[in-house]
Amino acid sequence: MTETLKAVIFDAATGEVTERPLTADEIADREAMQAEAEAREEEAEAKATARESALAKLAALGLTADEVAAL
Amino acid sequence: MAGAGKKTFTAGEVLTASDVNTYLMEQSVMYFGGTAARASAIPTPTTGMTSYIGVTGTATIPQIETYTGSAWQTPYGLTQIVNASASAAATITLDNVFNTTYENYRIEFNLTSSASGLIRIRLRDGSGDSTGTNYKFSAQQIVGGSWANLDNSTTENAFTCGFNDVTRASGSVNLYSPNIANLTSYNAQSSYQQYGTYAGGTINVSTQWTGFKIYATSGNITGNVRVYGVRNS
Repeated sequence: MTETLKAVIFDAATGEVTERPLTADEIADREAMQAEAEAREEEAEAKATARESALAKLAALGLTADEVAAL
Repeated sequence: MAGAGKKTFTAGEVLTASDVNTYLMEQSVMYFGGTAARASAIPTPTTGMTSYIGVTGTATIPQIETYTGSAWQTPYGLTQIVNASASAAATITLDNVFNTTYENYRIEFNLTSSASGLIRIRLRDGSGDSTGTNYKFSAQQIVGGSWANLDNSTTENAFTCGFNDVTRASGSVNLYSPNIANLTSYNAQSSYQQYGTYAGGTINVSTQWTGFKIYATSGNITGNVRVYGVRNS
């Protein structure tokens, strides 16, 4: 069953609360956002992995943790 | 008029209409259903008059207000503007929360999400969401004593305020001058599980925003969002 995505809207001036399904544009925006967030997360993970690898190589060359931190 | 102070009546003293009006009526806390009813009943308020504005809608917050000599104003630093709760919503939109009454605002949220994702807010005006890539911010996350990037951008279409998983995220957002035709900036701090997050940034357009939308980049959100105006003086 397809999930119905809803928008909830509060109007502070009137106190009115309305609910409606997301529009096609809003759904497309949401999907783009999810794809972007996933790509960003993968990029961050790759960067962290590369950093760990670089630190390990520096340690293998004989640099101390203090020397690595000073770079 | 309010400001007459206190009068101690003595036994046998005549209670005049003026005394009743001055010492009792105008120095009591008067109840009105809304600000329009108050303006009609008190066209010329005097400094120190106090009133209670009752609920006129499900999202309208009752307020005690005191007349300062130039305006009716709540006597405390933070005034609740809206208290919004929603369940399994893709987005929660709050309209007509920012106006000229306050320069700065505080948003507090307690949200659970059906999936892991960033929590974001997007500013709005009368024409809808501001979806241009004008939001600039840095968001960091701390866990185990170490900071790491959470989300950073100079070309995003919303502010990142934190992260949520399927447990619960709570946090606050300080929003500076959203309804002034100048740059609007924010900072946010939030937490979920053992993680703490901090974010700050600016939207690079000078629009007078009137509201915002809060959502998670993945999944639906359930919980409450409350907005407070920060008293200017």
